[in-house]
Amino acid sequence: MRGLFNAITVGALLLMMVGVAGADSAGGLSGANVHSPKRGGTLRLAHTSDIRSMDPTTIYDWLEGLLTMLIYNPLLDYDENDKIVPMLAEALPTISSDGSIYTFRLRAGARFSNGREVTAEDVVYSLERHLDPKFHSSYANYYQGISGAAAFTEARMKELTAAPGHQPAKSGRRIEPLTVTGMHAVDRRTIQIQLEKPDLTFSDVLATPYSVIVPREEVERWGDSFAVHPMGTGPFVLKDWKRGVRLKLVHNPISLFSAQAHVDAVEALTGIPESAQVMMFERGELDFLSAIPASDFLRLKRDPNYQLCIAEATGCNPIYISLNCEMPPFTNRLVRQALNYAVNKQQILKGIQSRGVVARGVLPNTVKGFNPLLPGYPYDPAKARMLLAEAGITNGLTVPFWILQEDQDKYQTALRVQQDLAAVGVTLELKIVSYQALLDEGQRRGHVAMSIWDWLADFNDPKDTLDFLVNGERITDDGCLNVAFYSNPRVNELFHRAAPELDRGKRLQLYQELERIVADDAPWIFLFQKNDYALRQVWLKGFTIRSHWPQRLENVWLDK
Amino acid sequence: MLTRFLNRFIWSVLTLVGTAVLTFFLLNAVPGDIAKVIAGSKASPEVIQEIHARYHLDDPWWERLGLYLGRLARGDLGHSYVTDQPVLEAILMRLPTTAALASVAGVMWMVIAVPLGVLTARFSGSWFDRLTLVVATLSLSLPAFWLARMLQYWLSYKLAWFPVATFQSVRHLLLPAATLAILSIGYYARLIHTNMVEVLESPYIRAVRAKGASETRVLFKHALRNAVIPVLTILGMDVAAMLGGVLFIENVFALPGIGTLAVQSVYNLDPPMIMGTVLFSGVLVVGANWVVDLAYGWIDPRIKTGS
Repeated sequence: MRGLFNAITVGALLLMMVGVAGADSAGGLSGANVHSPKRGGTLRLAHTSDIRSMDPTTIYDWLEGLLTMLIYNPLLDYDENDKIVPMLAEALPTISSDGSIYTFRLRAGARFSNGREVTAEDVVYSLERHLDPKFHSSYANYYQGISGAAAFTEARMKELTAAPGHQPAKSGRRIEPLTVTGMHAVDRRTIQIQLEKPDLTFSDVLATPYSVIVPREEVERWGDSFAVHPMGTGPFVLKDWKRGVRLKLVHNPISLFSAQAHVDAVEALTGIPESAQVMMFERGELDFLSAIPASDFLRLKRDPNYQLCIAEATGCNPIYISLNCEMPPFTNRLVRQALNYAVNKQQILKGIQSRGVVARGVLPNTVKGFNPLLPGYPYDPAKARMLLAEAGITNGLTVPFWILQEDQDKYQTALRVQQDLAAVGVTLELKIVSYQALLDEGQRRGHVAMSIWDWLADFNDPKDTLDFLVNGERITDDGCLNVAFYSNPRVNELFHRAAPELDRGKRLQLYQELERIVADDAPWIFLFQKNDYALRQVWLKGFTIRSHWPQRLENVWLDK
Repeated sequence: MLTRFLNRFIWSVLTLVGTAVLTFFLLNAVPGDIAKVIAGSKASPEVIQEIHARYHLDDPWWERLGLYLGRLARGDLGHSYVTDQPVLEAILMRLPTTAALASVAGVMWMVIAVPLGVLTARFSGSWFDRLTLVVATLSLSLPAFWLARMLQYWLSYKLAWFPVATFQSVRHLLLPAATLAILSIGYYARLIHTNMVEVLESPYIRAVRAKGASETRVLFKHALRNAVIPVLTILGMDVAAMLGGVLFIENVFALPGIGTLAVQSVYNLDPPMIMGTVLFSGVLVVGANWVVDLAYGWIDPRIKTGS
């Protein structure tokens, strides 16, 4: 009898598996499809805010990143498995034996949508723009490792300061060096880039949407307005952009990558509230939702019409509470550790519909070098009380806690943390502030003891998170990303050793070692990392979601 | 007449300058460094320094205020810190949507509120009058945001009678305009009702009736004209409140008008755009009061001649 029951169970399981496989091939979990892609149609999507810029130096959010990758191309790219692959470069770069010189060769026949061939000079110019403060690049940090970058930035800054109204005339006095000495075009298609120190993440930087190649003449022609007149080598070109309303891209037939794009056009509606986006999606007016609002998440997840159309990826977006190590009571490591034990992270995650994973340390589990052996801080209020007592805190503690109201997940999290800490005698005085105030005060030395933050890594390497957030040598009096103002000489030394290390395995080990020390020092309350979700219509095929720059739409097609 | 016009003009200019100065100081008092928001969290100190210099963020407040007012005098509202778009261009680009929304709502309002006010006055005390009073009280109590969301959910999402959001044709405006109209129909219908009841009891109406004029002529030609003057006064003052309704409704239905621009500029922490939209709203309120003044003269020629 038991044998028959087992046989039926196994049979049922097999049938379910076949069913799921069938569902996948018919419109699948990832949207990948065994059928060949169909050409044509307009892909419709929406976004809550306006598109600010289409200039790669100043793009800001996911939609701008996503559209950038449709209009332009970088030298390198990530494939679906987070592996670096060549894009405008014909192959992966040749790296000198000391790891400091990168040589790229451009693909033959790559053209901007104005018809001009892409040259090595364009690559040099595109990367140089990030280092010229005139272009207000938000990402200059990534390119500062190139030899001569600092001198170039300093010279441009001097020119700007000397010019009336910070608008240097073309005929104004130029200050040497006029170019970044570490970058030069060897010939029409070959670029050589020399770094100050070896850095294995330089290829990652060149695969981000910030590193796409722009045509110099168009940037100079439009000036500041290049942000609304983008032009690149990608499979789409800007057709129409009504600011605050919609932006339409159409297929670019002269792009090298034109054959990989299947839809004729992409239309992005902007300024659509999340709730309206969900309604439009369910009415079939949108093909794709880049995020699922918390209020609709469980309903859509349970809806049989959409269950198979929800794409999920474990993100690279840690949420954490910084404990300022330079301000009492957080100068004491025991207090910081106590607070970590006092917070029930699993319960907090449940409060946001379990859309994430509890953090054990600084790095999300999708980042290379993530250490699964970190013990983390399990919920243990008794241990928290004991540690507080050991730290000499017997009569409770009151700390101001800076939070943002406009981010609902973070706001809910902060309220739960307040409850948990109250149970161990720590009173949090909530200080609800604007993003502007939090950035200004929280990144200023000695101003904010405790505040809630998140981080979004741009590429899959531990350096992109650890180096910005817990490197003590990056601490500045103002504008400091290490908002916990955490510095440990041992950790700082490990950063020095890890950054130029050319042995990939050894490098990751060094980062793991330093993360273990950071986790033990507890400059943060390590909360959780958020998952990424997207919802696609059943007819949208070829869509996959990734952990870094999760949404890409170059290769999707509409099967209606 | 000329003195009255001049007085009015001077007060209008002072109101607008006052609005500009007040908005400037309010935004100035907001804590934080706008350059860090513009530049993004990964920006280098050089870029933040450059943004400070480009937008004169380190200059003393009086110099910045002088610069701002000087530009205003030349009709230049500045550029958005976030998108670099000229503020005036952004406002003018979105004005047609807000104007279309207000016009369609205005037509709905006139077609419903005016006859409702007149007829309830004519049949004062009847069940029709009482029912209208209940409905009017209800519509007065509804928050704009809630009503917009409810109508959108039921009529657009559930029943698919209207588009959910955005503005592509007049059809997209019907539900938002109806929402805006519903919010004010009840109030104005009752206002017209009250004035009409009073006017209908005046001796000149009895005289008109005695002359044998039809009831329609009595109501709409003779009574309404007098009853509507106090309504216009309230309407002029209500423009500011209505702009608040427009702000909510445009945002719920994602209509690209001045209301969504104002809200987006607050989310983006974009001072020039916030100041521009507030000032423009001030211009609309002042302008509406001018129009109401002119309408007085047209409805009651005694006001024009000063008799």
